Amino acid sequence: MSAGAVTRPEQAGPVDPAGAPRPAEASAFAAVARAYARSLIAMTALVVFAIIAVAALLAPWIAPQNPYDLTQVDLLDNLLPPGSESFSGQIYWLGTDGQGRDILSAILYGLRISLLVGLASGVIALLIGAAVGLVSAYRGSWLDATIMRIVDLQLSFPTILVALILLVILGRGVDKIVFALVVVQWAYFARTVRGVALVENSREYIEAARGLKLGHLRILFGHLLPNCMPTLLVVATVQVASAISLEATLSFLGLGLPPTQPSLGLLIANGFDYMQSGRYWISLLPGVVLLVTIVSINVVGDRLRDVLNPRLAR
Amino acid sequence: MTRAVDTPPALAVEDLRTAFFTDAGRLDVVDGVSLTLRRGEILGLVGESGSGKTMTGFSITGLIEPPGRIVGGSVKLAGEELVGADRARLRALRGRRIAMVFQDPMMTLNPVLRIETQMTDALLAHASMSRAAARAKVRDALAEVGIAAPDERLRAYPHELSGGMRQRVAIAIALLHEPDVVIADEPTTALDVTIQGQILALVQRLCRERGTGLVWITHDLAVVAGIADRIAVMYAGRIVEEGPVDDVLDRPAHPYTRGLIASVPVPGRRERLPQVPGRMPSLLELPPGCAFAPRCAQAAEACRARPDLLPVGPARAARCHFPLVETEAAR
Amino acid sequence: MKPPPLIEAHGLSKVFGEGQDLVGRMLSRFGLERPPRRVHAVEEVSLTIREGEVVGVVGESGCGKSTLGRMIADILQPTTGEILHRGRPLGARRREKGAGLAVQMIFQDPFSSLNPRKRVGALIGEAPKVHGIVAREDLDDYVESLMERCGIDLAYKGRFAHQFSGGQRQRIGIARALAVKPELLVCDEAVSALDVSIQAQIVNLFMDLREELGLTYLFISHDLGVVEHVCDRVLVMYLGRIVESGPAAEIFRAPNHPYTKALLAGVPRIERRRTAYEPIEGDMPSPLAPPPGCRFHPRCPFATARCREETPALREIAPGRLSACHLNDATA
Repeated sequence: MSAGAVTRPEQAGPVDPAGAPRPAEASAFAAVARAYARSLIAMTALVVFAIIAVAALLAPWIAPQNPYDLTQVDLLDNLLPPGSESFSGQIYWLGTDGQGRDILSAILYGLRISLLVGLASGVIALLIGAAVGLVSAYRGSWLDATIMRIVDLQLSFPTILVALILLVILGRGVDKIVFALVVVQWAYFARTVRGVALVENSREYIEAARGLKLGHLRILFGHLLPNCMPTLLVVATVQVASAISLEATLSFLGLGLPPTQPSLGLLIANGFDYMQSGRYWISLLPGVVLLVTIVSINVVGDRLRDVLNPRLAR
Repeated sequence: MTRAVDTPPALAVEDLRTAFFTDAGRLDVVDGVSLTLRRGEILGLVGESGSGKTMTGFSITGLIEPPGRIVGGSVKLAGEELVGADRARLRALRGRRIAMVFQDPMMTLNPVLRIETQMTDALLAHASMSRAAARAKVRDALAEVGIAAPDERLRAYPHELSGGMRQRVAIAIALLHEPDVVIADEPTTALDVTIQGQILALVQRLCRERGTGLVWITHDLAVVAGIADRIAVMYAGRIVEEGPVDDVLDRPAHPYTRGLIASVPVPGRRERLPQVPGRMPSLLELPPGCAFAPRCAQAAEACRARPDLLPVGPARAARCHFPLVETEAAR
Repeated sequence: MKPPPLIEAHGLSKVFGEGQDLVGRMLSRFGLERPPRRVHAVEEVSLTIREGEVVGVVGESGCGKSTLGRMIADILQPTTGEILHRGRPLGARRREKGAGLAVQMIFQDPFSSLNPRKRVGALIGEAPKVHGIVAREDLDDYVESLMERCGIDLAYKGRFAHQFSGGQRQRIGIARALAVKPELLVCDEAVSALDVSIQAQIVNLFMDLREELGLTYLFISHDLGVVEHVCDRVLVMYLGRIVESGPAAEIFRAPNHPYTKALLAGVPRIERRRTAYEPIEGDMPSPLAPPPGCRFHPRCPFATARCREETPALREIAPGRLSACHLNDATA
């Protein structure tokens, strides 16, 4: 930053950096969207995820039955393979489980819960982690060192172990599993945000803001945070995917969610016993949906990272 | 400019054209550049950001990557044509007969290899000798670029050296095979004044001693004044003025050159610096005719037509319809 | 009584070190963890800037001139020493509304000194809005008058900074600083990254503003040509300390300290043709392990045994001229 280490603005690039302001006012969002759309796989993943999300959202209206309303479930229809017709003439496209529930409906309702848990825990962990990471990077010195030591400590425990112990203590419930997931996730956000914020914090526009005495809160949230957003967005997508899979794992192990609110993980667990007897669909189909959901979110996240990382603006 | 016909110049560039084909359109970054460099001569290639000076250097050494491509002209290295030469031949020449020194020495140096490894590898790539002999030669090369305790430095990794020391190593590598021509692209811009002085002294001495032709690409007229024999000034991809260093700096023929020289702060009591208004146009929106005309105080109707690089004196040329020296001579 | 100078700094030092938490502190106390590395970026620097002056700070990378500038601009807190603004500590003034804005900084890198997510209008207008310098309804006019003053086309008000060239960005940075009506501008290599023709435009802008607004400047640069052109007085720094100071014309005409001499001898100038450079030897030592005694002695051609042991004090060698060199004792 000091003295002779002056880098000339002229890079090897062909485009004249001293050129006139570009004629078209390029919106950053439009540019990102255009760059994103250049990958067919990423577009497919985005569409797949959008379909999954819409289906989960509209589950009560599009599902053939409410699998948790006992008046709609007929025990006589149990263990029907995909495509079977019920006594009442309804077709179970994806078969039924041991209680005669329509698997398609169970998956749609299960997706709802899985996505809710994943998003809620992701967003809360992001808010906490981002705030901690930002303050840590901005204040620096002993506060930063202390916070980062706590983060290191947190990250050195296996995620699943921490979540298991918490759930054993807390018991089951949506709120409890969201709490457990936030506890195991916030440190990732804190670490990532701190890394990005440290880089941004050393840039001269932050120094200028300090010189202009804009106030710590304004600098933190008005200047530092917006410039960390691209990275935050990428980490958030990846973390939501991992939260969904972690929740599924915990529910599969019988912790996590109660049987009255079966997520995809619990559906897989329920059908697990039937696998041996050849009734694969009860476990497999929810498993496939879970897999597709997680993979599509991760592909979207990957592409976002590619598109946002060497910052487009410039 | 006819010289002895039997020995071709170290480097002869004829009407070189390089274009980049981007989404935004075709950019003629090097637009008909011609240069001649004799052995042992130092040519200062001067220009501001976006003038095409770096791209000229890259074109000469064959380092242009897609979407860019040399679209015309010729580059002759001691009589041998480089434009259109196959990759293997280019690779054989590069490093041995023509070498490049970059602003950032880490463009040359590999961060994970010891200095000794990279230098002996560079040496053995074009010469056959034993490792021990190579090591001895490399050691001498380091000593020659003024590195104290060369044995110690040979064992170091690039990050363990200071910026000035890294640039010395890069120069030592460039000079290992005693090439005919070295292209140096702003090699001292990132260095401190005292270190810059050391590097300038070094390069000057080595080129004179070995008869290496040097093209020194820079934005800094003062640096060029100190080391160059001749100067070529570039603007928007074209050479606008060329000639012996004293003539060009004392009696610039092109209004742009005059503006550049006047813009350099001189000791004195804070009178306003004469400034060239505006800035270099984007290559996408070049005005027809003279590219400098929109910034030129003496632009006239004739400047709508593209001027050619025409002689304005002994061994001098300028690309201007109203060269400043001719009018002075006419007086 | 004479009014106090605009800025007066006494014994400024700045030490940078790695942060350590409580555990780390305990561990290093018992020798179980490596103590944090400390860099003395600036040591015992005192200076005075009078109203209307242009004071230059020159030196090479690592000499601490940027750190000094940031302390004067109240962006960094000095480890020891104090800075007085018109006779009152800068720290105390910070709590007064709008009073901590008297010193503003212009930065080196026009590409990182502007927030990439804000438009030009917001970049310039944010600080005056926050500090209530102009009424809300006058803010637009105020921003536009600043843009005009700094030579920025008003049509660009709604654009993002990344759409501009380096020179225009630097103008935006200047307008942003002027928006809070500062008295002193600290220019840290403010024209170093610009092309020569653009550099001349910005230097001229600085000088115009000085006349129109009565601004004072602390002009930090490694480019001696620019410093010589614009400055009344010059401080020369080497490894965190001032080695020489005095009127610019005298220092450039007859440098006293061997380092200043070496620095001036190394400057390429247009008038110097085919110069046989005779540069001083050696690299700048690492600020992590500065040499004892006079910090310049390992590179100094005149160094004696005393220079290796005793740190020379900055003493007056002529009216208004200070130098920190033992050699002056012999002649005095």
